[in-house]
Amino acid sequence: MSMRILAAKVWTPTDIKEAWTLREKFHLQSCFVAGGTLLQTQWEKGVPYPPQLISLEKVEGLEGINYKTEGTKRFLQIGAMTKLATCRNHPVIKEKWSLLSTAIQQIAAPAIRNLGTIGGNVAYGFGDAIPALLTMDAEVSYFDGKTIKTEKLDHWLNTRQNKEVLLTGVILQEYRHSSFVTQFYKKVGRREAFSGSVVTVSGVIGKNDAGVIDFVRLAVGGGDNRPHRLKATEQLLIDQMINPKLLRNVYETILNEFHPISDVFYSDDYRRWVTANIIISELSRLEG
Amino acid sequence: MKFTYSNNLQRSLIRPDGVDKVTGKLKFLTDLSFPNMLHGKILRSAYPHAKIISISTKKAEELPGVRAVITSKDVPGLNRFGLIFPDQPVLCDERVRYVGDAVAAVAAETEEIAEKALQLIEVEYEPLPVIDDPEQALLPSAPRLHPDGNILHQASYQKGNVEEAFQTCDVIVEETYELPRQMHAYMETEGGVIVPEKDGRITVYVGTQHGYKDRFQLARILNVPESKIRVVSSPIGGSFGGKDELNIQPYGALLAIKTGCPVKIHQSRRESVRSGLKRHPMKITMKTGASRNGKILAHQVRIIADTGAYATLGPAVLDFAVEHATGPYIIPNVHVEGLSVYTNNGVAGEFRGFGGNQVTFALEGQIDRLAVKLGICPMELRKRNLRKADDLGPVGQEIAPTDGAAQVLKAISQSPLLNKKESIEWGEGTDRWKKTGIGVAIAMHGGGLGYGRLDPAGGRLSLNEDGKIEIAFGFEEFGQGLLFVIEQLVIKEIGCSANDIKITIGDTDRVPRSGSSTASRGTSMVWHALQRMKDPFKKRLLEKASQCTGVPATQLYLGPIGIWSCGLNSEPLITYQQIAHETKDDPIQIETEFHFPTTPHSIPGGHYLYSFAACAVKVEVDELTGIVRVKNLEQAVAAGPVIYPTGYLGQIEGGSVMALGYTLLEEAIMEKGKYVTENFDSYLIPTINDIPHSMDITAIEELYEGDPYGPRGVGEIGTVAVAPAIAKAIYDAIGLWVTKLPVSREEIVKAVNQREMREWLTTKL
Amino acid sequence: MVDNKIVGKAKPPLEEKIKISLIVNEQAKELFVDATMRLVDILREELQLTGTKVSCGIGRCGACSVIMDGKLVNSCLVRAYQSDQKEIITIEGLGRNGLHPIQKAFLEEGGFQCGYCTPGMIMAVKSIFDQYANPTAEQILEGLSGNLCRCTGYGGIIRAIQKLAQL
Repeated sequence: MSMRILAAKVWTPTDIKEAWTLREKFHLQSCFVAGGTLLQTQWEKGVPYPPQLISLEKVEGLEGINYKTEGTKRFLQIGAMTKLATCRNHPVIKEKWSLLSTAIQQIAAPAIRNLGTIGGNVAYGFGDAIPALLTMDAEVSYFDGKTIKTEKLDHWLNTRQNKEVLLTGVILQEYRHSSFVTQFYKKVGRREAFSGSVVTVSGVIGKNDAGVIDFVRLAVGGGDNRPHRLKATEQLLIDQMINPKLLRNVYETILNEFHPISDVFYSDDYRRWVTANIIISELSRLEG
Repeated sequence: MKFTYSNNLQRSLIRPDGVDKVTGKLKFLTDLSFPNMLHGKILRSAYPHAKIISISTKKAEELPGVRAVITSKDVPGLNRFGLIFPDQPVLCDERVRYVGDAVAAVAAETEEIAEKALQLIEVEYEPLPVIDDPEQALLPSAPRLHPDGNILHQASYQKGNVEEAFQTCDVIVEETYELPRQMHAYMETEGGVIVPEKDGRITVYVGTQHGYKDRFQLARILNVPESKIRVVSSPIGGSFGGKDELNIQPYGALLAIKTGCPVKIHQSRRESVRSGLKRHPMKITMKTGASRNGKILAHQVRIIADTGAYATLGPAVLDFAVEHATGPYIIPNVHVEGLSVYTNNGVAGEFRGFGGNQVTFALEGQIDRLAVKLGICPMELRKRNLRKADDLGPVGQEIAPTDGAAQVLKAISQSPLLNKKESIEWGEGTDRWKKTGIGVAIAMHGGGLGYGRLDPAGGRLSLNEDGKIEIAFGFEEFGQGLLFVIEQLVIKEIGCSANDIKITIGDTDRVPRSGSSTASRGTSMVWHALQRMKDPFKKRLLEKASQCTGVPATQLYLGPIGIWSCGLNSEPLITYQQIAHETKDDPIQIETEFHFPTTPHSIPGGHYLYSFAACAVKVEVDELTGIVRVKNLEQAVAAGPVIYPTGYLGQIEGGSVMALGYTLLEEAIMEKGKYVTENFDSYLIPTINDIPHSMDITAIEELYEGDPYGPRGVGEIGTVAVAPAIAKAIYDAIGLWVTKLPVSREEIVKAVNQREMREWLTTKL
Repeated sequence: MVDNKIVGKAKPPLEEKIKISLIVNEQAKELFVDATMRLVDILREELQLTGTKVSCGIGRCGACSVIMDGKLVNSCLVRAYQSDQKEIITIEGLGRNGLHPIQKAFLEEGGFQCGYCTPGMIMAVKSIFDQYANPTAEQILEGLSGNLCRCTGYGGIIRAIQKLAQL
């Protein structure tokens, strides 16, 4: 597909309602475009693009990072059109939600991160920021045609096919965790940098003073693997103390729970083994 | 993290093309634009193997803005091209044999219109069964891809009696090695502009590694005398062997002639992946036997190369692989058989290393396996079988005596990497799930095209009308630093300064024939040409200067700006400009023509001048993910004197990283004859994050006593020994022998699983 | 169900050709181009600035890197409508009064061979030094992770940056 000039009209709405109206009008003959970096890679491969492109770049209120307090709760609101690079370098994100910063650092390369957006990464459904966000119990806000709603990212990913929405932001709550916490994000790419993911593994695990695990979030994704939490494995770990028998059970449970894709580069087995290895190694770090 | 990019070579000299490259001023041939220029696009086959039933270009021709559409009927001369024998259709008429086969081409006012026109060309195909594996192609039931069958070329070498010799061996190792399809991945894709001139000639501004050969091939296709074609072939944004063969030139030329307008074609990366050459995938089975005391007695090799749809340089690559199958070792009983087989996969051809990379990976793998089985240190095993300086070459031919093999082996043995005083414990990595290993390998590589091949060389040295000392070669600059080499050699041999020199290359109207800019021959040929030209040139200049000034020639010498007279002077006696004025009607010009040095033994393809390298690497294997990281890399290279230190270093470092990609990252995957990895998001070459923390290069400049052949080229030698060194290092780290490239992480994790992981889970914690 | 009143408020789409105003290498430019024309083609064809190169077309190699509003971007992924009102610096914008220190360092340390990736690479190096006065090894590796070089093996590029860091 020639990418020099697209056979499409570009719309640049300035508010959410206008953007939504355009989408309703043109429906399948249109798509929203955030940074456009991922979409263009797909179009270059031959994935057809629609004749109406609705750019979100000028829509008011979609860009920006706000660290807010409401009562006793403190949370971060990240506008969907905020550039990935801005998220990565934001001091509050680096300090309090560092997993997200780590995740973004491994997405593509600097020039792409200066154009790509967090909303684009999440709305794509397979973005590498998602596993990190899942382990941090992130929420998304979206416009459903009438109002702005908020729901857990986890839930939204599982139910999004039922309704079309316009993602407006990502929300991270500030939690007080356990006495000892280990958090990790590992993207296993096909190359040291600037590569699609073979498998992405993220986790936040906390244990109390007695050494009992009191908080677990484990998420996988990457490449064409649908990002999701490993809930059976999480259940296995909760209220337990780390010991060799537990780790062996965890290893087996992960192998059984995770059903990754297989492709011409790596098999599903490889992806399972690597995921299990990474999680076990992090658990033993927490132990040792 | 610390970088150490150390080297023993003095640097800090600026290349002639440097300023234009760092300012973006340099116009590559794909940057050129001409008035009334049209844009060309090539329609390539929709199938890896099919009959063409019909082609209809009517709708495309009728599209506004389209100026010409061509098919096979528009080819006035030979509808074929190929460096050795022309078997690849310019435009297919009956049959397509791979997805890069050209079926039609369009010239239009804009690239967008040309693209649209391609979509309007209607081709009716009858798909045929796809042969995507050489062994499948060899079956009697396989469809014949070419009139003479599916074997492009056979090559073999025999010495002694391997079958008998194996009986006497104490230890035998047998292994099959699989080498992948690598892509050159030059940053500038194929492209340029073909311009029809007012005088009826055409100028072809398209990068190639052999302007005169392109001219020859195009003349044959266009059915015109060569004098009607001018090829401007430099500068090029990377080639590595991939732009020696013709690529877009025929289409641009045909369209330019048909429309009477300049036609620009610049392939997208996707088009380049689809149609461009690749390295030969090879399956190499080796059986090697030795006596208990480490003497290798028998070596049996079978090579099957997947040459793809057409010949190009396939036969020469196979010959090279067969020749290098014993490397720098003297083995009394050898039997090497090679087959280059046609398939419907992408066309394989010339690629930096030229068959040496594949066969050396296998050979060094055999040596390392033997060493383990025999319980002999691998360096020692190599030493015991290493060629001596005056031994015959690998196929029994006389070669220029060289001690290079021993030199590089000795140099690498002194590497700190092989010195166990490392702070990190043997076998342990930076954390408990990483293992470290060290590996060493050596390589021998023949330069030039080999016996019996047309390997002409030549040059021209003249004082031009502007008073510049003009040095001209029919070579091309594609990053290897040839321009600097030429400049430095002229300064050294003539005595003038850089400002006095004009270098002319890459233009068939202005340069003599020098042969191709390939096979590590460029530097060598420049040196040889200058040795032949310098004395006659200096003599003529001094004579003229003497005539003009009355000072005897014996008291004069060439220096910066002009001719100086002996003694303390602050300026020349007469400038080059002044002499040029005096010689306007009879300019001083010296030309030379000769042949690349070859062996006197008539062994087709046998080489004469060899260079050597030894590579040591330290790798870290991550047991959790199977990821292999090269932490340190060292190479010792014996290729004669260093002319341009920065260039030499750049070639070895660049070659090392290209080889690292070959070993760990790169494979142009094909399924059923179609490319799976179609762009740089799926075909992965090393980024700055993939390179070792340190690369240490040592150049061994001493040649054998009395060697008159001067510097060898180093374009390829840095790429050959890296892969086997990495494979050995992996074995050293985790006990797994890698036989297939690129290294499979999955295989590593599986091996770790089987040997350790289960226990690790239960016992270590 | 489409509300006509709301549709009436929707602005018309960017016409096939739009007028864009941008500042390129400190010079104001007004162009009339397709809304989806790529910035790299605008630079190379409309403005004859051929220093910026096309190599992969999907932002995976960095040969087309330019600096837009102070940030490194792949100009093959930026469309005309996205570059309106922006400030662009290309390789031609460096070293107009003598060579830029980065260009000098590349020349002295062999930071290039064929030169095709070089304009994009230099812009990426500039972007690193725009952000950090004394970049660490990690910052350098991350900053150049999107720029491929097939010739040098990156050794000369690292030496060039080490030289700059000493200044």
